[in-house]
Amino acid sequence: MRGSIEGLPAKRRFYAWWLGLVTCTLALLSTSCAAAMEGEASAAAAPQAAGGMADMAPPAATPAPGAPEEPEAELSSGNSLGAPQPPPPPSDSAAGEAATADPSAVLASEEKQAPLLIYRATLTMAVFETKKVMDAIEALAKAIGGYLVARDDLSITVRVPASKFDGALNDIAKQGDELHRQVEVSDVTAEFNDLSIELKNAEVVRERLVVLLDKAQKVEEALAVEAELARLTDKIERIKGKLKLLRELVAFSTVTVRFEARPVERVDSHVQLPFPWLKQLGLVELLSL
Amino acid sequence: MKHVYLALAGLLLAGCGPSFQAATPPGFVVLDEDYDNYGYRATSADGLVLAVREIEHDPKGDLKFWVRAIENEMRGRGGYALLETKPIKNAQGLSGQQLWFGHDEGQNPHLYMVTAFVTDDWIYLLEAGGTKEQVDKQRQQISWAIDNFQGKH
Repeated sequence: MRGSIEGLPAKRRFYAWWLGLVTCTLALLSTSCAAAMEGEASAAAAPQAAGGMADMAPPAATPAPGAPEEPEAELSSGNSLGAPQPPPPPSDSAAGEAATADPSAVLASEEKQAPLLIYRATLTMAVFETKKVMDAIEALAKAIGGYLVARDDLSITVRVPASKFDGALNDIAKQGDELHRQVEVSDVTAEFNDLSIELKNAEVVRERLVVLLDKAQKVEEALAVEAELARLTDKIERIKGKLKLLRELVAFSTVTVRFEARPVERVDSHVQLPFPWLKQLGLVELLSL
Repeated sequence: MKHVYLALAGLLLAGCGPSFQAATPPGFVVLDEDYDNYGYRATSADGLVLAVREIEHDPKGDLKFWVRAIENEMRGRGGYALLETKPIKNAQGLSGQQLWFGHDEGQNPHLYMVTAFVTDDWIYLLEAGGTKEQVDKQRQQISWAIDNFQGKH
């Protein structure tokens, strides 16, 4: 274009510039009119926040609160200046689906959802009749709807319904001489929500892949889709497994009881009083005849 | 003059002997006390042992302090589970605290009892220990020995 203008005589070159300028002005005017009409529509839906400078601002850039937002693509279509349009969302993108899957509803459900907490307790007890005490702990857990997880010579792990955690912990502590207690609480709400969204997205993509598999014309295409389907199915199963585990850990609190034959060195280790006879107490000396 | 000598001799003898009088229940034999740590020991034929320690009460502390010290020592040492603690008063009127501990020797549970009487001058520790089976069988004898123990107020 530039080269063709430079090739013309000066007078014709002036007309060409003039024509270009008029065309641009008309284009600008038509854009402004369209924008103004959209702005009026917005103003009709809600009052303007302020006059003056607000009137001068592009109406589409300041949508009134409560007014339905115009889709970005529609705004771009009215742009006759040829500004680059945003790329359309990928049609088969799972992320795109999630982003358009009513985020406000997701947020609302997150706000309403009670925190998902996992309780874990570890009790250390002095060793005495460990088998009897462990039997009692196991029976206690089962009596309130819990179950045994693991058991060996010097420790036992049970799970009890989370709603009965406090009571169960105190009852278990009464079964022996409690030396130390540690209770941990983990909030897994965010992790649970992330996994749920990931699962939903993966399932949507899998459904689309199934449709694609039906439409595949070539063997190579079918194989590629099948491979992706297998990978996705594996991923879905793993996520489901994690969610199931989290649900179970939230529903059932874990209580581990360890029987301590020898004291473990701790910061709050017992006081050493300067009375030698205290060290001589016990069965070893008493029973040495 | 002769009476004075006899009285002095009696006082000396009394000073050398223990400040308490232990009661040996039937079925127990008193052991010769060549042990530094015990003022008295007796055993049953099945190996249940009773013992008394007398400890000079210096520095002074109340019963609560000494009982707590014993409890901490036994539990902190590891291997002893505190099963029960209860106040006790014997026939002589001595007030004290009784602690029962459990202790596993392999698969064989044992019981160990300490009863602490604290007077102005002495701390008396009455101990009993043996297999759980033996202790359970002879609880009455143990109680009798504690009830009939006589210490120096």
